[in-house]
Amino acid sequence: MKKIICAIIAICLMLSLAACGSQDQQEVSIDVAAVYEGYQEYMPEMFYPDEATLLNFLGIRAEDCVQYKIAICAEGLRADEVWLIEAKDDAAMQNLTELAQARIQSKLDETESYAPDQFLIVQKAEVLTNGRYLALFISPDVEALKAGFEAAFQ
Amino acid sequence: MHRVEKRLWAFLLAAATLLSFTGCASEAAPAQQAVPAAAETQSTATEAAPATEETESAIAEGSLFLKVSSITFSVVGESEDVYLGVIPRELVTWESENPEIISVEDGVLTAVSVGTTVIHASYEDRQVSCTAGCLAQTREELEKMGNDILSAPKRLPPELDLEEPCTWFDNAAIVGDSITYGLMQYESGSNALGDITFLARGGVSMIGFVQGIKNIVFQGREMELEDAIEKAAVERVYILMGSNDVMAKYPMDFMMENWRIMLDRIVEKNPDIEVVVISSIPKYEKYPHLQKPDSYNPLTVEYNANLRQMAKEYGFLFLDLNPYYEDHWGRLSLTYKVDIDNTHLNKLGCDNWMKIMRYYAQYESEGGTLE
Repeated sequence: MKKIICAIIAICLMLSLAACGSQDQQEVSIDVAAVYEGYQEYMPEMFYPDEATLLNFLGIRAEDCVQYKIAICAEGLRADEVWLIEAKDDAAMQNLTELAQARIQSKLDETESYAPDQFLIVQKAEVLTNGRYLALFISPDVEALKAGFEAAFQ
Repeated sequence: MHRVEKRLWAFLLAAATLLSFTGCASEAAPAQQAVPAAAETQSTATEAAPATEETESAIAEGSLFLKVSSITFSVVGESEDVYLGVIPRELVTWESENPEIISVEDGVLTAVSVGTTVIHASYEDRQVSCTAGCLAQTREELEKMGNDILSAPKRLPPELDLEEPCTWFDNAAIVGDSITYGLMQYESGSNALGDITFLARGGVSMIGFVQGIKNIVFQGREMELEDAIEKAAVERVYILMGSNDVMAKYPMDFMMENWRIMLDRIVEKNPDIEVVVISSIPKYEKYPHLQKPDSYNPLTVEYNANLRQMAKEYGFLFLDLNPYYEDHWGRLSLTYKVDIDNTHLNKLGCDNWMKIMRYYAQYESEGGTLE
């Protein structure tokens, strides 16, 4: 009898953990706009694409995001760009991650012969993820931006 | 004992189920950030493309469209036609407030002497005006003037309010390089061209499109231009391309051949598309008197003349943007250029572009046609 009870309890615990595991693994939620506010000292003049531009230019569907802050350098010749996004689900997260990687490749292609100094910056670009949060950083201060993103989860 | 065991089983299962739910709830409840500006939807009014009016209707209801709200000739003797149309030219009455400075005949202004005056065009109860002036008697006199005078724009487009909602371009796309990319940035903040679709990427060129070296990026993916236009599903496409080709000083025939290859590809993939070729704009030169025939601006003038001819051959439309950016040296006016280089447009330059596009769209809506 004791063995049966122990087995049942063990199964219940496993089931309960498994059920939670299939849900969101995030334990910390962050306000991406607040994270971006912390980057001001590193940002040149930026522009913030509207929904149509997000979709047509970057491929980002606003409805795939719970929240986002996307900033692109307003001086066309500078490569600086920041994406901070909370994806709405795993499928959106995967798509956004692919878009971020494609964006870096596109910027590399753009700058390689056109703006060699910016090419060096794009080469150091980073895409970071944490649960359903994604960050893309193209900046001479990429390390500081990364640190700010990581600190937000602590 | 058997009954007790059954009850125990039932109790344990119920407790486990409860635990599993409450456990998940406490972890899977990350605070929802109150953001979704992203999720907000925006109503998008769509409006039918402007229909062509009959001449009679144009006379009855149409406006008088001038190309400029202001024109400043550089030297005496220069002439320019400032009438765009809709009311037939032969019906329009022209008057110069001071014909000894600027004379006018059938919409063609001529600089007679140095000074400024106002030109009026009227038909029945409709009247439009523009200012017109002339800077110098001779070229020598002109070149002695300060750069603040000589770098001002020669022409200003008719004024219009960019904050008014715009639906002219909801079924249109605009293709271009970093100059158009700059426009996209400003337009994205203002929505002054409504729901226009931008197909813009820094560093692209016609030769790059033809050879597949650098394609356009649409919705985050790189693709060939004709495919991007198809995917954008628009009825009209504006194309401003060539600054990188001209900069590279490719032979003129080669550049035009690349245009033809691309236009053929675009039309083959998008047989119903309406193409508007936009003329290339000049760049600022610090020492304009050192320009040679193969310098960027003289080449751009030749390039634009070829573009105009090519558009005509194809039966495409042509929007001549260049004159609205020229200063008295034929350079990009300082008024419109960014500080960091001599090629790209600042906010005023982009506003200028959007005003021109909207004005010409309004002109088309009343039955006017681009060249």
